[in-house]
Amino acid sequence: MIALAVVGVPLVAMLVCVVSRAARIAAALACLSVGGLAIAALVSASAGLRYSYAAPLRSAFLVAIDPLSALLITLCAAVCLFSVASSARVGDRGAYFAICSLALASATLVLVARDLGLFFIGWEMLLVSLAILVRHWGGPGRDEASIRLAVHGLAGSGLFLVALASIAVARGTLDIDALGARPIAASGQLFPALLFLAAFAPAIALFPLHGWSVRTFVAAPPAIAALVPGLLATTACFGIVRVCLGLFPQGMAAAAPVLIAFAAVGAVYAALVASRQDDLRRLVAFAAVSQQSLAALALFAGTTTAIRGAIVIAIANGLGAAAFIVVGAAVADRSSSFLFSRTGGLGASAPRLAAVGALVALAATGVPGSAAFAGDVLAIAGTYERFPAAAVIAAAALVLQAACAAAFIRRALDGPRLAETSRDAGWRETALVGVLLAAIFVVGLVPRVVTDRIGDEVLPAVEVTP
Amino acid sequence: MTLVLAVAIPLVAAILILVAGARLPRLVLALIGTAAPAFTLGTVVALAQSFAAGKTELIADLGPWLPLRGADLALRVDPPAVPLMLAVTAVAALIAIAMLVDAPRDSDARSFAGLALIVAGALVVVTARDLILLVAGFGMVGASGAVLAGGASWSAEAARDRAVSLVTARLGDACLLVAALAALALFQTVDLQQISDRLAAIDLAAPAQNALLAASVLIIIAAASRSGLLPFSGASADGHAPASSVAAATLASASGVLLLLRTAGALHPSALASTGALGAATALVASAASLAAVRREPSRTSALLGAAVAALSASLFAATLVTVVVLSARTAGLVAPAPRLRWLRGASAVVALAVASVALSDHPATTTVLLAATALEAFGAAREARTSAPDGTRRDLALSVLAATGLGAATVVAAGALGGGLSLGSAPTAPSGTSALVLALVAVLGGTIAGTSRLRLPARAAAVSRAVVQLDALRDGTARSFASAALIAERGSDLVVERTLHAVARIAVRAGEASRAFGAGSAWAQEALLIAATAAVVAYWIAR
Repeated sequence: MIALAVVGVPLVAMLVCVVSRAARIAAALACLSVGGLAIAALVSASAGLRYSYAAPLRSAFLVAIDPLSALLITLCAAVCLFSVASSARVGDRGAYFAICSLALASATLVLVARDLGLFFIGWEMLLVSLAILVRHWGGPGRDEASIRLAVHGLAGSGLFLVALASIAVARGTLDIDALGARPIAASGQLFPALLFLAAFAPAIALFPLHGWSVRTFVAAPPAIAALVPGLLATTACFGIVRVCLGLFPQGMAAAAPVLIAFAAVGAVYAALVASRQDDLRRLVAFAAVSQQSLAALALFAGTTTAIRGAIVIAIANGLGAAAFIVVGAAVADRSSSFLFSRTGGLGASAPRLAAVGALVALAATGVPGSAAFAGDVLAIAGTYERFPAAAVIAAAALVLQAACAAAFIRRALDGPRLAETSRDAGWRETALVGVLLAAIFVVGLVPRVVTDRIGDEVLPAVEVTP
Repeated sequence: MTLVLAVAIPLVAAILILVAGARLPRLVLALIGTAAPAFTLGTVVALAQSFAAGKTELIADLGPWLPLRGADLALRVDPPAVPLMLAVTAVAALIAIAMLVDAPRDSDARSFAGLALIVAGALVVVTARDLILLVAGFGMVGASGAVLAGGASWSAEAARDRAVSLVTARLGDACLLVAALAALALFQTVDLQQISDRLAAIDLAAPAQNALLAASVLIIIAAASRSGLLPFSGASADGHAPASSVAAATLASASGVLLLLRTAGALHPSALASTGALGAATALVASAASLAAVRREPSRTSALLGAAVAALSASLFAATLVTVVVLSARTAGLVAPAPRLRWLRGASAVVALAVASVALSDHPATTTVLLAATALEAFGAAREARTSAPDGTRRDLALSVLAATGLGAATVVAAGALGGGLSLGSAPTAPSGTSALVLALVAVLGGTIAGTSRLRLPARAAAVSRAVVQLDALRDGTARSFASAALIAERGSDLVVERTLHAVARIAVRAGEASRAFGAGSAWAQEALLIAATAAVVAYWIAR
């Protein structure tokens, strides 16, 4: 029932948002409820639910929640709650919060779906809802950003659909557990694995399919930009684990060297480019792409340690990018621009904001104690088992990410002040970032709260050697 | 429990200051900031007493941390670690007291939190049982040191220092992480004791030897980057920060030496031997560079830590002794900011280098190089004394007395610990030690005479040394290359990716047009193509 509830509650909230004036409260309550239900699922066994809604297509409403799903649903709910909380002044509030709730419902549907057809529906709904949010509530460049988001997402979805149809015909079912129990011959796994991956690769901003992500960060308001790594990239990671690695481990292993090469290039390239940006939003976007590429690299390495690391990175990135976005918006608010050339010296004029900003930047680079540190160590350690050279490149990417954080601290927070006085961080900004930072450091200091939930039973069963 | 407390007290204090520091009254903040290192020192003294009473090992195991073999939250103290812990905590307590007077009000929270994190991290480096926890402690020290670099200054130069420190620190972290993973692959564990035992018990095959050598080189690079050894000397914090911040940064820099001390048993013998040459060369070049009077304090720090690293090639005993003396001497010199007593900075460096020369008396070549460095430092100290301002304040005097007391206390504790209940292996032999000491004293005397006379080191030689130790051209060149590469990567890749996507889209459109033309405009032709493609996929699946 919990699996059904985590999807149903935000859908109900969506309807309430449309008809009620208390849209923001309804959306926030939905996020809180979903988060609470997911935490409840983490501590209690939850049975699945089956209802065949499209028998000719071999598709059923089959949902179940396992610890990995529950963990990621908690993250999605937290990021969505953050997004709702930081959307104080938006136009057309009812529609805005309704679509935010729809995005959360879509993400949770992806995370609890045990049927590929249902998974596909959730995935499409998520893409469309994010594209609508960017298109209607974005700033300059929103048209191009939303079109790119839709094109990248839907092009991959087309291939996903082809794979889905062929599986339904060839295997007679879309039940993920049933498909996993009767694995396809190793020699036939590469093609379907790549078809499914085509849907997830743009969402996780795998190089060179990352361009939409940067444009979305620039065009979308901060609250919506946070949903990109928080919801879309997280569910894409989950999709790779559950579908690509879970159903086609041999195929993924065969493609791993090429995929890892793309991910490694992406991690280094994005960090390198991020450190030279003059626009704060582009810096955050490229930094997030670099972290997501590290997660992708670990997923493609395919070892259990690396997969655990990738999931911890996804959580760290979801929380860290959200915090980074709030800080970036606050810095831009003080200097009336997102450009570094027009800001600087906030350490002297707004010390609390500077301190919080420095902490967020350091946490994003994976300093010890942060969630990113635990994720990076696990991801690189797991990758080293099979691809030592890629692990070394990933470690180099960490240094470049530090250069990116140093660039942010140096150009926005440090240095001589540009304005005599700047408003320091208010209670709302401090509280929002403080909660996110607390979560980041709790996961970093006690990573077992996450890694113990990612037991072997929820990870792909076969660890293969190429 | 005592061992856990030693790490937990500064960590909790740092978190407390970070969370509530800005809202706390200065008195409360100062109390927390100074009480934490003081309590930590007390805890470590209690540990030392138990070791002096005969304990040989203390382990605190808090359970699994990361799901990797041997990566637990476990601390382990053995006799060689005790003097290091004492030195770190005693120095930190001294710096905290100095910060009360020295640090500007607007940077109180940052200074105290940074110092507490450095202490916690350094203690983790000294006591970590496995390499992954060591990486965490090392990284914590590096990040905290970067935050403190440049002190409270908001100048562009201080901002640059902080940025360079952070990147250099993370470079060291990355090297150490890869080395730890290489060790994990090689020995199937990250437990330092188990690695040392296995290394002693088995003969590694040639490929494994190469892997171990590579891992050892990475560890040395990590230590060099943190301690400002060649070629990383220019990355150290600048001297324009408050002295207490520079002292705290020195404590952070010492974590490179602590890292080498902890991993010495797991290093490849060739790599371990190379540390002698690296350390001695750093000491000599950095001592010469400190004469140039620009970035003098970072250069001195590099010189002293270079001496400590050089001592590692002689024995663990020598390295521990020199590290303890270096930390004490450096701190004593730095927290004595009175213009009249500024010579104490140079003098403390001279003392530490002289001790290193004595400790290495069994290695003539290294001793000779270190004595030359001692002479250069003595020259600089004497010249500094001659040019010191004549006036001083009561505060400066109090700090200087405090510094001297700290130096004396730390030296007494170190001497007592090393020579008393804590056996650290072979001590230097008396005759050679005496002769080296005599030589060192002669060098110091010579340097002093030279410094107070009208003799001057040729300006060009000092400039060359400064350029070598700071590698300004190399650093600037690297930064320029980095910027250019980033620019090319951004513009080039954006262009390539954009054009590629447009080309793909154009091809798709033209393919559609071609198919329409081929099918004479009939819609059924496109549908047939789509069905055929889907059928092909289905056929592929069925065939498999």
